[in-house]
Amino acid sequence: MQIEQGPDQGTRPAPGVSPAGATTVRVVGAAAIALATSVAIQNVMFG
Amino acid sequence: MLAWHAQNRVVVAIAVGQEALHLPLLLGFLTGLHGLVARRGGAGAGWSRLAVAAGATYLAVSALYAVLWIGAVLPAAELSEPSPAFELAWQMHAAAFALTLPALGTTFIGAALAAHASGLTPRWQRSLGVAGGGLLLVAGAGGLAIADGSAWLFVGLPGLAAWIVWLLATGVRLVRARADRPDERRRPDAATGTSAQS
Repeated sequence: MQIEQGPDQGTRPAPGVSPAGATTVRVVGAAAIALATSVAIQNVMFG
Repeated sequence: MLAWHAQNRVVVAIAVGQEALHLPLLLGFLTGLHGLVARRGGAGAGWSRLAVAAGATYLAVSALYAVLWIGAVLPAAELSEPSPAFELAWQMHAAAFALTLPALGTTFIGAALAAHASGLTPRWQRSLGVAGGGLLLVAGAGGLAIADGSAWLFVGLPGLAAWIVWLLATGVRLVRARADRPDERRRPDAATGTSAQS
């Protein structure tokens, strides 16, 4: 995770680098992999 | 065909169940992709909207295809020869399948162009999407012939294989993503977490 210095010398995640956002990206990727796997299995069954 | 359905009811049940699974997976993926595209500056948003619309159309036609398949397989075990109703259900099932091809092709092209425009995928995946989706569109143009059992169907099969490869490649890139960095938008490496030097 990218860290930047704030005005109070503390640290916080850079804008747009939220854990929730990263999770969303992975969930979308997992959906794509699951869909590809299911379509491939379907084609093997009738191939 | 009747005998095959009478003996392979379980196989059809699995395939129809998979169609039900594809509905949330494809809609989830396409709407998620649209959200990612919007978050990364909106380049390719038009293409991702096209992908969502085409994907919903594809799933609607797929539902019809699955329903007609169920209508063909259920009475198959009790028939000694194909009835007119069985043949009608089977022909409509084949026609619905043929119509899924252009809908899937449009979905594929829209998703591939949107993902590349927003920097989520490299150029080869855009090319794969346009070529594979184009083949599905060309195959879909011969819908009547495909429904009648024509080998024209095989024009679309490489497009279907390309769709599987594209989905897998895109999925792996997204799952391996480090973060959605605003200063690295439009770079595929930013989405995948792979180093530009490697």
